[in-house]
Amino acid sequence: MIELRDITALQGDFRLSVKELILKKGDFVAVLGNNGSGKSTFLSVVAGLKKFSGEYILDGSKFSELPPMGRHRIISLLPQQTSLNMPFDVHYVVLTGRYPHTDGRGYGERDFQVTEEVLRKFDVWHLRERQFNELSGGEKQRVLLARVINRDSPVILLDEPLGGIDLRHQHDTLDLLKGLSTERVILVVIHDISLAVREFDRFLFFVQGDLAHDLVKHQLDEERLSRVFDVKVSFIRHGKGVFVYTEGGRK
Amino acid sequence: MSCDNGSARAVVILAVLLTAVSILAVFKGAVRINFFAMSEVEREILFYVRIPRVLLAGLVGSALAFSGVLFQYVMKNPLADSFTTGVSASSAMGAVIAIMLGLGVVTPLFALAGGITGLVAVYRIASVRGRVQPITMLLAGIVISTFSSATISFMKFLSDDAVSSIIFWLMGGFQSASIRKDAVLGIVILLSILILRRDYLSLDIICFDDTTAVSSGVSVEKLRRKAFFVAALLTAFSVGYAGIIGFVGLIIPHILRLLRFVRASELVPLSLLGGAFFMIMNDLIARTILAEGQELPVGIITSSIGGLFFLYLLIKRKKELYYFD
Amino acid sequence: MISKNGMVPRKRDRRIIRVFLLCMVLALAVIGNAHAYDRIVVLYAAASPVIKELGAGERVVGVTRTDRVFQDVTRVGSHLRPNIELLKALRPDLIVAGSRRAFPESFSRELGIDVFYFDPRTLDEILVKIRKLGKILDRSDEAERIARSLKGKLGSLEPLRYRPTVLYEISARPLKVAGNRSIITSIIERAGGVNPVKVEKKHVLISPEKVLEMAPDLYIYQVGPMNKNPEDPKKREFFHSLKSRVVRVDEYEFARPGLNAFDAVLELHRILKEVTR
Repeated sequence: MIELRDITALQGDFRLSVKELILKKGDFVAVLGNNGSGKSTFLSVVAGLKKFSGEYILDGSKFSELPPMGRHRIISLLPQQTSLNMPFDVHYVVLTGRYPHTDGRGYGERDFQVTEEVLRKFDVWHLRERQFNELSGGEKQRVLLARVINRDSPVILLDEPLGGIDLRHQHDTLDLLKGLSTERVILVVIHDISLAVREFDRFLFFVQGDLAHDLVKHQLDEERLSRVFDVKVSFIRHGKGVFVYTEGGRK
Repeated sequence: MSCDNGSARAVVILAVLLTAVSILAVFKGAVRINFFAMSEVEREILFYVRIPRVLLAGLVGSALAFSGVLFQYVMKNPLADSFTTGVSASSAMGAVIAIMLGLGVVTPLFALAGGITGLVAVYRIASVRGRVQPITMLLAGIVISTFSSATISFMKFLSDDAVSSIIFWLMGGFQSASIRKDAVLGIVILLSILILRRDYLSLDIICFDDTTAVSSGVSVEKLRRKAFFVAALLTAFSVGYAGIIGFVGLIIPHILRLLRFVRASELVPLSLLGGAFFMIMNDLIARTILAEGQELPVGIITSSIGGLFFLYLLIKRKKELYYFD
Repeated sequence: MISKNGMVPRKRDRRIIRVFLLCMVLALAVIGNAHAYDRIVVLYAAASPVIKELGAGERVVGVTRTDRVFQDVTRVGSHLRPNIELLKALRPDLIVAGSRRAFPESFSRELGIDVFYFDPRTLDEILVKIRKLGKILDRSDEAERIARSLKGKLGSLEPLRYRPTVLYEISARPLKVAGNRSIITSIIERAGGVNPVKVEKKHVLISPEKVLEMAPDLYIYQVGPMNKNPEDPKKREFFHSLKSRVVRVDEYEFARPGLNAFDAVLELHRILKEVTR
């Protein structure tokens, strides 16, 4: 689905580099790393929002050769922060996620149908007539997630999607995403390692702009994680689950 | 959707109102026309003076309201209109320069040139490495506006006697309407609608932050540029034919949004209708309120009626106003 | 004044000095009269020809930017915004202003300078003003002579076959015409015509419809600072059906309430004779 080779992107003094990365359908990937390690820049590059050099093949074609609307039919992105300065209602906010599927003139029957389903899936159906900007932080985040998922794209990029969402909805959301990931590539930037280790099956670690590690679940070990995050990390196994315990200060 | 029914209903209501006020405006005027037995003079008045004027008022109202909507999208600011972007003032500056040079007949062309010059200046100033920054653009607009006003004031100073014709450009009016002008402005509006016919959904999406908008598949920069030029074109032609008429570009879209019409696909058609209605009504008042065929400058009516209604809405519906970043 | 003409032949210099000395002597003679003013600033250009004609021209020390009568005196700015410093520096004892709006009385009190308002609205008022000005400038005889000669000019007017309606366009954009309070109305009436606009204003913003309905016999449009290069009314689309005879006149000749107004009457009368033939 996605092939990246020798990708570099510059942002001021910051330099992102990815030697090689291949993501296939069914990958449910956690993107991890400290602040400023390049996670968001990486998502921007994959979403086509940032200039880069190197080879990027999306769904069998060179990324640069895909028309803009085509790219965004394949990839949807939830940025870390979203603002809206028009008093749109929730239904319309979610509906606009369908934009790449339109001819620019109007949303069709199918768009409305899919939107309704997604609204229900993310448990925001009851909010559909409310103004987006009047919602609470967590509600907004769920609406924005619904907006992104509404694209129904084979690649989904989510930058810290769980911020402000209550526990029950966090679990529902992750279950939902997992369900969706069987047919797609989903990349999620996440800071909660414990949650990441429990829910994801592939892990990308960024350290100072480099894609340092690309691991699957059983390759994770305490030593590596401690190095990446610069804190002491230990695993505590309890029944079927693995809990991650972290301690401040250098090891 | 209930919303779509709402906007369809609003279109119908506004269309009915517009038709009603247009008929009234054609029937009423400084001169009483006996429609059942028109004399030669009455027929001339009707076809060469009154009808062209009603049409011009309507078209200018539409153009200004439409351009207001577009400026607000481009600037991401509900306070943006042809004033704040400096396009009105620079158009007027062009017109005033023409008056000063004694080029009476080509004044509208100078207005157009002035407007486009102002626009390009604002655009250049606001572009940083090919990207247009809404806030910088607003600031640049204020600078260009101030500069243009200063130039106009200077011209006013230089010629105390021409003050009344300069003030005309600052207040606006539809006295010199003609079918030819109506046709030109009508074509400009039609072209604008055509140019933007596939951009209504994306105009809504640029109300999100740029990252969200771009990743939704909208070419934000290209769209802003396009909408900006269309808006400037509409403004320059309006100012060229009828002088600066303030408030319409601001008030009509605002009223519509306060009435919960917030999508471009609703705002644009409703603004076209609403602007025309509002302006025809104002001009009707301006040319019939005084006796003996005297007129009031239309800007006075626009600002007072518009201002009062706007104030009412602000007080009543304050809570539903805008959210800023 | 003398030294600046370095390039002028000596002979003329000497003559100028002689004239200057003569003026000094004259001025000294005038000082004896407490009423007469010697340092006049004219803030209304239409009054200048009158002052010159009264023979008080050499007492004028300041004029407005647009004054065409007195070329060699200090310009103090525009009639609406004279430069107060310049004005004060000239130490005038009389200011001739066009209207109370342009130069309020409170202003003259503050400056401690007398003000004379030259603001006639009819031809008769022009004569009254000339006499008054003559009186305060101690030139009553000249004033009387001028007034009589101006009145005499109008003696040659013949009665017209009927009273044609005459509309006078002040400016094309916006369309403003002369109202009842304008000197124009008086000129039109004296020339044998009638102004169809009855509004009690100097300038009237008027609907083009009304103009067509009035269908004046004569449509005069002025050209000047108030109406720069207007389009010929017949070529304006909304005047498509205007049947009036159209005449173009110079704003300075018609719309200024001074000596010229009487010549304007004669000129208009000549046109009206043709119109009514």
